[in-house]
Amino acid sequence: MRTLWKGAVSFGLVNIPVKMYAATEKKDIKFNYLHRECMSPVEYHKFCPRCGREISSEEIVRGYEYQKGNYVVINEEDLERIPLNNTKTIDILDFVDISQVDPVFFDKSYYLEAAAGGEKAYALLIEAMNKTGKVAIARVIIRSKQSLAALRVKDQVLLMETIFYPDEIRSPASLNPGLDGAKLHENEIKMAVNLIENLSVNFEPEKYHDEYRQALRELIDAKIVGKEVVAPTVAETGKVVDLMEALQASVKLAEENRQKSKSGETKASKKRTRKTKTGS
Amino acid sequence: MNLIIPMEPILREEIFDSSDFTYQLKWDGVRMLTYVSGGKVELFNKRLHHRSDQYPELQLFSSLFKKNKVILDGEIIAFKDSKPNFPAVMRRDNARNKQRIQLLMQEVPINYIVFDLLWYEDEDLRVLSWEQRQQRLKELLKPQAMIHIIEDFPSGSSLFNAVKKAELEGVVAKRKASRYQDGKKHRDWFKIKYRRRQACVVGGYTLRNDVANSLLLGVYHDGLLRYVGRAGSGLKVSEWQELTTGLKLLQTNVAPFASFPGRLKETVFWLEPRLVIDVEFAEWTDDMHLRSPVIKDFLKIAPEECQV
Repeated sequence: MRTLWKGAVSFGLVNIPVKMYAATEKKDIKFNYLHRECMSPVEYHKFCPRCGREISSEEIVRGYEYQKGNYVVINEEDLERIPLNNTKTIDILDFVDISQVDPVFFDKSYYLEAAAGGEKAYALLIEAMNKTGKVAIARVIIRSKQSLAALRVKDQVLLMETIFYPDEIRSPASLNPGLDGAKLHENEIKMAVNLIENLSVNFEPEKYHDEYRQALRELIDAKIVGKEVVAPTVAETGKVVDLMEALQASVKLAEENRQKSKSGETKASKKRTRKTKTGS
Repeated sequence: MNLIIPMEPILREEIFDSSDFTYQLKWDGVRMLTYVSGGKVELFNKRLHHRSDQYPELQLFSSLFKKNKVILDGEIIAFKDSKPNFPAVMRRDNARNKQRIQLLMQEVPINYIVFDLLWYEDEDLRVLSWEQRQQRLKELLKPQAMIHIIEDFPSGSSLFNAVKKAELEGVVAKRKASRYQDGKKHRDWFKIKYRRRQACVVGGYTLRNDVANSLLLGVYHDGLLRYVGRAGSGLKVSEWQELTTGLKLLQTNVAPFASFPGRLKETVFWLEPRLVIDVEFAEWTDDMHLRSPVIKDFLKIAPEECQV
């Protein structure tokens, strides 16, 4: 798993250094869009309709449309000016019972792992949360974005669920009311309750599969096989051996040459000594 | 088992000969430690990231060490044109889903060059000398399929000459009496690099006082033009001046690179990817950039030929 973020959980006076990982992954099958004629992947270019030309990212600024067709430009400096506690922390604010947090609040899940130096405090927090059965509500600042989160323990690891702010949750008030209006008979209720009880089991997530994805996967695999993309499974392993042999031969040759030139040198110098001897 | 931080060779400029050292080829691939325990095989790279899913071939170790607890150190390599090629291994390393990995297993077969044995059963072998560890490795592991044991050469200079001739990455010198230590906190393993060449497409440039002072380089990798770094040396002032005029003709608004990591302090001018240059460089960095590239020559080849 890739570390998404490094920071610290602050809990009272204790600071626990942690690394964050995504706890879930989408397994949707992704497609690329291709140009039908030549099969190359389609590129998306940024185009300004008023200037009638393509523009580069340097030419793009961020704008907020405050009324139709009217924008104010918000640049990096503006955003930096917003007072935000920019430390990389997960600040624990309160502890609550998990049953009080409605599942509609949960957004994304992340694992928090103790980073170097934080092991003991991390273990302590987990143990205390296990004992009390509480979850922590925390304020999180990641990449200068602030959000709310619930921290709980799963398999002895801290799990962080980012949660929506209350004003981000839509009210069901505008929908048709559920219980009002309909008249229910005693027998009908009994039957429905019976039915639910008959279908009640323990939750075993392994039971459920994405059947559509599975079918799509099989279809794709069949196409790949049909196209015989099966490329070289040649004896690549031979290449290591070949390379080593070539290197050894090259080393040997160089050493032989050196030996030759060495013995040549000694012969030459011997000759010279003899010559001097005869000369003298 | 706690994860081991791999011992890394320290860069040295000159090759040397010493009977205290053994000399090995520096294989241009991805460093990988293999942990086998209870028939389970797990791979971790230099940054201690989990990489088991990327290289299913190495599950072969589970059948070699059925019950033993073993930690091996080695390099995963892949070939291109009969030479180990780092970018090729990166295609495997970057594959993120099962299907892609399955496909690439066929297209980019890998080899694992084992060069050290760090753990056996309950014994931490890192405290032993390299020589002793090497002996234990050779007793324990019989090379097979794509698993190899690295070869040793007695002379550094001879090996380095052979490496230069074959245009391989370099030589690693290891002190025979040294124990295995974390990272670079030692003076026992050294790497000596041979500077190699790579043809690159110029995809952009920066200016200083209206004269180009660096070129942004790219190579085609998996069908996309990948940014691999910038080169600012190798040309004379007069050459830069001449080049600047030429570059302006190729200028465009759109970055030709499939991805351009980070921003440069200077303004970048993008180019149509048409100009090809020959670049000398020390090695590929872990994120597939060229380390210390130097401009050597302008090449008259099609940009599409700059493939890695």
